[in-house]
Amino acid sequence: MDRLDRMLVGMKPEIPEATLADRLCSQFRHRYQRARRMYLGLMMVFMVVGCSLVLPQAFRLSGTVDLPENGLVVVGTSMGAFASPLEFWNTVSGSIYAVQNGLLGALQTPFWIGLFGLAMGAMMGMGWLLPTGKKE
Amino acid sequence: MNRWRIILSILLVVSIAVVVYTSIQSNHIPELVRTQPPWAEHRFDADRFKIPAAVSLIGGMASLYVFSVILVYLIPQRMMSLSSALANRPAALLRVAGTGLLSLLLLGALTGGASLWIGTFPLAIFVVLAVILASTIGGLAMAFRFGRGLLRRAGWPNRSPFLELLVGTLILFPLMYLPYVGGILMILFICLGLGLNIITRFGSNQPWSIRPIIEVERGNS
Repeated sequence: MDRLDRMLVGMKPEIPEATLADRLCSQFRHRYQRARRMYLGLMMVFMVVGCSLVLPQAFRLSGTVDLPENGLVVVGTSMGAFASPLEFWNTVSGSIYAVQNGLLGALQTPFWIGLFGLAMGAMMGMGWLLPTGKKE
Repeated sequence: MNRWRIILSILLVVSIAVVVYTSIQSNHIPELVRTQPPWAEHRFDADRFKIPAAVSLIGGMASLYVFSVILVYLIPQRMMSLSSALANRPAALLRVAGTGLLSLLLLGALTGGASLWIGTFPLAIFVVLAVILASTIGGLAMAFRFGRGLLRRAGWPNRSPFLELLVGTLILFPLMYLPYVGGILMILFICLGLGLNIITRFGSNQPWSIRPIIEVERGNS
């Protein structure tokens, strides 16, 4: 898309529609700009709807994330895995299940729909921002 | 004395002052940490691993610098591509930061979705680790560019890249420990670092295109 953008920027703003080629070019430009506006509009709709569904529930989450104070704590405590691997795995898998249950219990369906919308909007936004063709 | 040399000296003094200030404050990290991981209960005493704030900060800064030196040797071309993508124009900077923010949103949604099933839970962990790594590498490329720019303006061009990295890291890293603004700056650095990686396709400067697949399919048919 950005190669087309650059081509269009390079074109004169007002093309005298004298020949068939010029008319075609002008029509193409109008159609392209309209498609681009629609793309941006759709992206904004996805983002706004996603945010409005995700944020209220995200703010209601009352859980706290317990991060270790420094890396040494993680390294030290992970040594438990070597001491008793089976117990370690049971605890880890239990923690994962607990996180999943907590998430599913605390977050309703609209949150996940909003998250999907947010992802769609972000993907469309990235499609608009990222280079898709080689730079000349 | 060149004006930029004075600015560079002030910035270095300020960064050292921030390091000293955060070292004096024993609770420089917000109260995030209260417990140890669940599997470690009754096994390790977290207090045994408590280290002074100064050691934590200086250790973090030194390890970041060593990591950046390794990166410069390991992937010099990509580091240059990453740092070159950070243009001086505000519009380009906004584009990089916007891309980083959108990537964070997308990957956040992916992580949320992947954490719902035990089979995809490792994917969530992988995405989180990849984001941390990408934003760190992007941040170091940013520090490299910042250090290089400052040294050039101060009238010391073509210095060793390691000195440029050191100056950039010394000035930018302590900023994240500033009270109140530090958190915002950290988010900004993460967005910029990730955005740099995404825009340059991890420093390769290749476009985000599926053309190779289409061309192969056309060639086969």
